Amino acid sequence: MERFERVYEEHRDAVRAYVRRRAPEPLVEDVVSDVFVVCLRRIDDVPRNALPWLYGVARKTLANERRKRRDVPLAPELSYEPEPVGDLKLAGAFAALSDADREILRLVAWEGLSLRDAARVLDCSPVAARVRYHRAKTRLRARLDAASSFRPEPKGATR
Amino acid sequence: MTSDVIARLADANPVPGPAPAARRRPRYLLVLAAAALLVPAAYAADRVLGISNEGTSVPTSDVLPGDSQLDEALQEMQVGATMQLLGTVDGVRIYAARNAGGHICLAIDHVAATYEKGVLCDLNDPGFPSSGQQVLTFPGRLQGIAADGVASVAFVDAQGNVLDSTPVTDNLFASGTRIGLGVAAYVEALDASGTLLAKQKLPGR
Repeated sequence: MERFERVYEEHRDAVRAYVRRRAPEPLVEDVVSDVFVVCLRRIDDVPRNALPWLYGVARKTLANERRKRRDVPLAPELSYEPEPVGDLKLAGAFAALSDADREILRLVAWEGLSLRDAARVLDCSPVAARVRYHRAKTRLRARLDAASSFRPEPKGATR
Repeated sequence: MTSDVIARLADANPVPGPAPAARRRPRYLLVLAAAALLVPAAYAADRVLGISNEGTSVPTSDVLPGDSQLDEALQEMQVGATMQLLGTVDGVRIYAARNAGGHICLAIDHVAATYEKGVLCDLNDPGFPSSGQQVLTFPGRLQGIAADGVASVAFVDAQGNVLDSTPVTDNLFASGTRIGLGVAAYVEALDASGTLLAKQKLPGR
């Protein structure tokens, strides 16, 4: 129990931030709670570097939550995801990426994880995470470049 | 310069990283729809829970039927074979017990909504009920138990604004308002004349 308490106190805020970056506010408390229930039950399986493990649990919990609520009328809007703020062009380019691309980029840019830790969250090899990351980054850059090169037609100039 | 893309994305983080968890927090454990642990305070020897409302004994296995995660959490928290059903407030059933370590643990069952169920123990020393710990509540919602003499409880933010308050009856309270974790900074216990009896920092603040 002491170990669980340490893990909980040390990582609760980070886990909550992780969830808030991916889910609407009404879901956050429930998902965070679920993550720590799993942590409590599996405390012997939690590695010393607990945070990527907790993020991995949160990721699966969010996926389960979305699945569970998909068919529930009046359920919170689960397609909603917090988007990058203060940079509309970036937000647009980011939103156009696939779920997998967005997730690896979020893990690195928002959670500040190394690719090795990101691999733990995604349950893949470090090599696979590195490949995913570089491809996602390239695609984001390409979308940003495409957005930058777009010039709207001047209006009101026709005769 | 792809690293610029990542730096730009990092700058646009909608939820900037939390502060390091170095500061001392109230010693609660919050698990699922909420769970915490508590160390025994100086409580009357003839009262298991240290409050007037001692409730009626029920098997722990009946407390949160059908919710295996919470049921297992109760086992992990070493809650014994029975808990005390203290009563029902607005459809919220409130249970309490001291676990094997002497901590008071709380369980709440709201039959209408899955996520209104929860378990909580308190690890404070001294814990509930004591002069500094007059209330044992879930940190995201005012639901729990209060010491004798507490007539109402309130969530307040760091600036002292009242976010939610609810009366206490037979040591029990349950507000239907969900404030959410980390929003309220303190829970206040007040007597019947509105005098502040205790102001407790909430976990996560």
